[in-house]
Amino acid sequence: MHHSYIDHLAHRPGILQSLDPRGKVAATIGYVVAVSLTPNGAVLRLGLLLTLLLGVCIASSVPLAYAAKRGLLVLPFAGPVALAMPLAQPGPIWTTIGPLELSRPGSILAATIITKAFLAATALLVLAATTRFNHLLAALRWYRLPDIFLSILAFLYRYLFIVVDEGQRVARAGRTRSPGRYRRPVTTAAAMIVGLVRRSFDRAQRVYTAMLARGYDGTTRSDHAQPRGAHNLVVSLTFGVIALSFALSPYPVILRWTL
Amino acid sequence: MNEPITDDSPNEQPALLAHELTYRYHGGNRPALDNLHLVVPASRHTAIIGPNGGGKSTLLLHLAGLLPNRSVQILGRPAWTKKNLAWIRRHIGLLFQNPDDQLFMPTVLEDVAFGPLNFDMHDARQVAMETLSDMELGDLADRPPHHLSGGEKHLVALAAVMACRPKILLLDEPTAGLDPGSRRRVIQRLAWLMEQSVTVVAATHDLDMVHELFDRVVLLDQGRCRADGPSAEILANNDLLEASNMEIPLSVLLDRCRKR
Repeated sequence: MHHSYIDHLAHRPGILQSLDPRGKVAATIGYVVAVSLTPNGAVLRLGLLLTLLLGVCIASSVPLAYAAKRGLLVLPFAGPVALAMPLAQPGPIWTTIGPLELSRPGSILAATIITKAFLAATALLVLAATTRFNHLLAALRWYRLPDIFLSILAFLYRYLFIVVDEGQRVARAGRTRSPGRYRRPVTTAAAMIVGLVRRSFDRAQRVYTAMLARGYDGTTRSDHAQPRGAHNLVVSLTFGVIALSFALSPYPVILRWTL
Repeated sequence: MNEPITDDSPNEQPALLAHELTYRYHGGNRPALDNLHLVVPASRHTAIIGPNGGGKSTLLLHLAGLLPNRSVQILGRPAWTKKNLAWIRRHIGLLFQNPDDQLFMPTVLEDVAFGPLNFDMHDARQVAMETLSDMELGDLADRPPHHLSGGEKHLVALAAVMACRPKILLLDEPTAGLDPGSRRRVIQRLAWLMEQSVTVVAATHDLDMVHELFDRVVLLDQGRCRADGPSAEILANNDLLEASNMEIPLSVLLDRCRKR
């Protein structure tokens, strides 16, 4: 079955791929904080953050179209909030669409929200795409994230593909028995989804039994090799510090330019 | 029905003992196991054969202590108290039929090290790596299980069980879905384990493998033991096999031709 693996760019040569995952996590969090602390309408600053992200993508062989498409996935979540702003924010009218009067501060706020959400989501997706998933988990473990949370992430990642596989198989089986009909009735689609949920539940029980068989007693024991060397960690941590200081320090006047 | 093999040497402690074992799944219209009596001596390797739905996998789950039951004793210990279960699981390895149920860690190496870590084995990671190398799977160590082919998953699942260094190895369809080369590797590995005093019990439809490796066969049908005896006898009994939806394996027929 075909899958688009979340970390499928991790094997390409590039700057991000060669960095220590712990540093990458720190740098990404720094970048996301920098994005989130950017004031409303700070076009130049958002532009600089976008340029930084573009540069990292290019230097890490991440196709820009790929990054942009994945980043846009955040629109269904940020979009509705942003779209309400031009109507909700008081201020001078910027333009009217039919009976709707869009305020200038509200429109600027909407554009800022969408841009910030896009930048933050893209940065996280670029991190995930250029880091092997088990290395990412090791880095998060190094930052002392709770084991149970990491176990859930690992299981989610591992079994997502199996559920998707099963879904594809069920869909294929359905197609072979309905030649020429590609639009499935809602009842059939619902039955397929119910079947998938039931199978997943059964599988969860079998997986748990398999864990018990190999001595699992509710405690996750790990013996993970630490990723990469200290030098590499320092270099990539520096990226995080720079990004954070960019967010927190008093920045030059030119960066204060807003709409 | 053939006389059950209860024990070769009366003084030997049976590795596994099921006495009047009955088990019914929730909602099942008949018992999956019906008043079953089975003794597995440590010195004999037992193949459990039978039609689909005959109760083979359910029996293995009982023998591994995963369906705790008062009718089962494992290595001389009752298999239903919590204290015993932890000890039992340390000494019993179970290979599941579907490797996707068994390989749940992010990488092959972490999965193979899962058991040794839980059993507090010294240098679990090293043990896992050695087991993978022994099975010529060392190059898969860093791969996520979902990147593997079906045959590779099967072999890695077997390695994950073997890394726990069990005294008793229970295998549910160890050769199902493997290409001939991988099947041969599994058979060679099992033969090696049998020489290392590991008691092997396998539920399988691969009767040629049974003929090659196992000295004893138990035929399960509808949760009952229909036959229990030396593999040479049972695998040559056409009437018995046909009554349970099976047939004499080709290797037995070839042996017959050679003898003629």
